[in-house]
Amino acid sequence: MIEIIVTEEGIPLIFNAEDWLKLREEHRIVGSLVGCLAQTPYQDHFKGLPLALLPEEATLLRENNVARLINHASLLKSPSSDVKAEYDKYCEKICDEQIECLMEERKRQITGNLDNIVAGKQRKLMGLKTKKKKGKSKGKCDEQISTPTETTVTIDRNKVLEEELSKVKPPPKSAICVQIFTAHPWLKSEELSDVKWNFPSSPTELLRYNVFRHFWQKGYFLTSGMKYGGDFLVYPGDPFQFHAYFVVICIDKNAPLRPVDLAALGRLGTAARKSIVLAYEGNNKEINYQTLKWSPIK
Amino acid sequence: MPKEKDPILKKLQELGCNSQFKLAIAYQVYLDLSEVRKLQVESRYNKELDIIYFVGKGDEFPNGSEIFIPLSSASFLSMSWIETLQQAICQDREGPRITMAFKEQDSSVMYYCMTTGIIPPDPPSPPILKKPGQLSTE
Repeated sequence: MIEIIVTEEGIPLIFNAEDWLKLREEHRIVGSLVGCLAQTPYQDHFKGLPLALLPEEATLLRENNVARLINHASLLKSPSSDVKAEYDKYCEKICDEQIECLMEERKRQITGNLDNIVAGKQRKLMGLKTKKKKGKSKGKCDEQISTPTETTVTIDRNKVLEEELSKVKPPPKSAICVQIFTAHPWLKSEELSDVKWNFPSSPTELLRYNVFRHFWQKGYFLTSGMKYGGDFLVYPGDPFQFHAYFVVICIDKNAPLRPVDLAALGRLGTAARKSIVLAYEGNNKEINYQTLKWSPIK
Repeated sequence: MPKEKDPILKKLQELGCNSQFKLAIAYQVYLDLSEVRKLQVESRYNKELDIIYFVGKGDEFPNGSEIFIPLSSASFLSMSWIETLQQAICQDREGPRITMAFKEQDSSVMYYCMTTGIIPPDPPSPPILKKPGQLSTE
């Protein structure tokens, strides 16, 4: 089950990258990334984990038994000495692993290049100069190399290999990559506690949730509609690939609606090429929808 | 009011509406529909809701005709009122749909259509080829 960590402010967050992908691909839950990318911290165009969910999304996932909303007491405290020790141990481990990996790679390079190294040593012993540095003298250099000499020197390949390998030194620790975590890797399950989640609690929230669930059940993707002045944006597919079809606005059926509001919404829909859908609760608690469009006559 | 009444106004008055304000709005919307938009307009009156409305005929409408509700741009509406209106006027139609005609202070009229249900947006218009190989978004 996916764990959604709820902040003190009541924002549901996903920290795990696999959960993020699973929610998007399997459950059509998009949310919004709110974190900073570790590699490019001086920009806010591309964002990273954590993923903040809409309250509607969190409630829907909880209702469908896909996720549980939790709180973690230790996340509010500074890490204990145990966790610090564990972190240091982990850092040492990944450092050793990387050094081992780099050494292996260096050895592989030397072994693969052994012929050239041996040839170079031979030339050196025979007193031949190689002018590899300048491109112009390449022809001359080739001539020299190809010129056979009277005395040929034989070199033991294995000895050269041993020599070269003994020269390989481990890289300095400053060259080692550091892992930046997006999720706490040492959370203890006994410190988890379920959060009291009471969304939707008001009639407005209930309307929003019902509208969200209605579109979601029909197979649409939904995001917050703030960008277009509505409650939700409804997409026919993943928002990465599709433009939104609908801007959904949840409204009380008796709320006064001025023509100027309708004009603003109608024009918005035309300019943004989206349908403006007004959602309201009917007399029998059902949700009714009306689509607003600017002038059908020219 | 002139002594000899305008035939259109007279026709509207005969429908049964007593509100001078509603009649004035309806009259101007009627003129806009028939004279500016060149539609064939039929005037009707709903006694229960005390509202004058028009049925405009034209090929550009999905059912071949469209219902227009003349309203002042200073009026207040609500979703329940719009729903009541659709149910009262569009009984025999599928996907009840009305067009609200808001008459503004400068006598221009703006039209906004409200359809029951969730209607997807129009498909994007195909690009027009301006010159060979050059695409325009319009």
